[in-house]
Amino acid sequence: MFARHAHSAKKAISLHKDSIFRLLILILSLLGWLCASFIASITMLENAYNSWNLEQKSHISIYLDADENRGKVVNLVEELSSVNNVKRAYLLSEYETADILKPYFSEGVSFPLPFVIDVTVTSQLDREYFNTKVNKYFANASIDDARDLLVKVSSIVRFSQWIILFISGVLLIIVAIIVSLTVSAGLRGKQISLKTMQHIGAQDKFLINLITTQVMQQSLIGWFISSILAGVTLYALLNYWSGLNLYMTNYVWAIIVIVPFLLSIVAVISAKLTAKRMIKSML
Amino acid sequence: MIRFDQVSYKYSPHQKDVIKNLNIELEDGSFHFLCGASGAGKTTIFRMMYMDLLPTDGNLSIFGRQVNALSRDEIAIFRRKMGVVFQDGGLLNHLNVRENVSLPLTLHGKPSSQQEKCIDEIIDWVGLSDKKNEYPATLSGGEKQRVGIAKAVVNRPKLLIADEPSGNVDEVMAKRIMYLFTELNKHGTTVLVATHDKSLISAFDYPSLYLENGIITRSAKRWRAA
Repeated sequence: MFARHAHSAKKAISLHKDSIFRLLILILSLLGWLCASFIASITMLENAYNSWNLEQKSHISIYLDADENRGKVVNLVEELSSVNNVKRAYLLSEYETADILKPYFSEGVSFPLPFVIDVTVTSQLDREYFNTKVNKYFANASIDDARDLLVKVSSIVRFSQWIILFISGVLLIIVAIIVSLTVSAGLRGKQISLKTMQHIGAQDKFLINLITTQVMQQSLIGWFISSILAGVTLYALLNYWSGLNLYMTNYVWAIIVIVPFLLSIVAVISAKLTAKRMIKSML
Repeated sequence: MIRFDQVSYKYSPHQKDVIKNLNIELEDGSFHFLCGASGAGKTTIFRMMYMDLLPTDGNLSIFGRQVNALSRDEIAIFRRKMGVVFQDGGLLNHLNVRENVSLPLTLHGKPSSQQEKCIDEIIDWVGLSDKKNEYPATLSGGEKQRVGIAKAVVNRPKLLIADEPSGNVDEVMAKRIMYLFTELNKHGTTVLVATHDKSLISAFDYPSLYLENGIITRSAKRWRAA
């Protein structure tokens, strides 16, 4: 019974019949989907970068000419194995070396193969000491040092992340502005209803809550739709590029739910502030 | 209940006063007519009474409080104790009769069964029980006025102000409305009715206040034809 009366107050200030207000669901869904996809991609990029970074930091490859003495190479491998913070030093077999080089030579690997030593290290490794040790055996050894590359890739990754975060921030601001404009346009069209409600004793907070509740309903629907859309998008990407599965953590799935929810909160706060401003301007 | 003490009002600083040094006191449980030609300032007085306008000069007290000192929330709470009958009915076109009448009840904490009863009773009383689900656009001027009255009195207000409540209704309905107001007055509601209708004023034994150019020129216990 009370719901029936409360219904008349809701109906008195219902924004649902305004076509621009109905569009709010669509706008919130699309922007929520974009934001969620962007932030999820940042997180996946971070996961991929961290994984690659770890790989690069923990592996050192040493390349030696094919004509070097094999016994001397084996001795180096043994000595490197005993260096502090070296987990493993391993001389690749000819088959493994050929396999590594195959992508770079389309006509096949038909020349004498170099020796390749794969060393797994920890981050505490003393690189200077390690290099001296190698150069003592083979002065012309080529030690694959990825540090410069790591710095370059790191800055590219961070830059991309900032760009995506900036775009997401802009989308949040756009949501706040769209909601504010929608609510003010809706309330301007409802001035008579608002006045009537005020004349019968409706307090500001009652009216603000009526309006905010409507935006909240739209936002929740937008949240639901955008989370579903972002989830479907990621699922499709994972199916298309199965390699992405490595970087698809639970955290990424959580993001596609949390980000559109944050967007909904921004929408509700924006609606509440706009409604407050508009209603306070009326007596 | 209501006290105008040297109250003046102007719509903008460069305009002349619409109401000038008005002094009125309406005691609890009183019934007054407010008479005056169009543009005399009746509606402005009414708007000040329901605090849609605040005096630009002087003191206006309602329910023992100065209106200029009231917060927005207090104004809202005071308005719940009032019933206002507007010239045009003051209805929302997108709500049906029942929903329009139930609006003031949404702001009160009465049990829902009582609310239903109140709505049905009052709609029956104004003779619109067969139009409960109609929308204002399908009602005549007189019917809208009656819905407006039902909406104003459904809460049993402490103060009822009615701006030309008989303007759009026939003589029989005008008298029925006045009897309802009288009944409410007997139960303690203070009533102020603005009207041009001399026959109505002469039919009821209530004091009248005469307004001309924003000034109360005289008050009379009863209308006397010249």
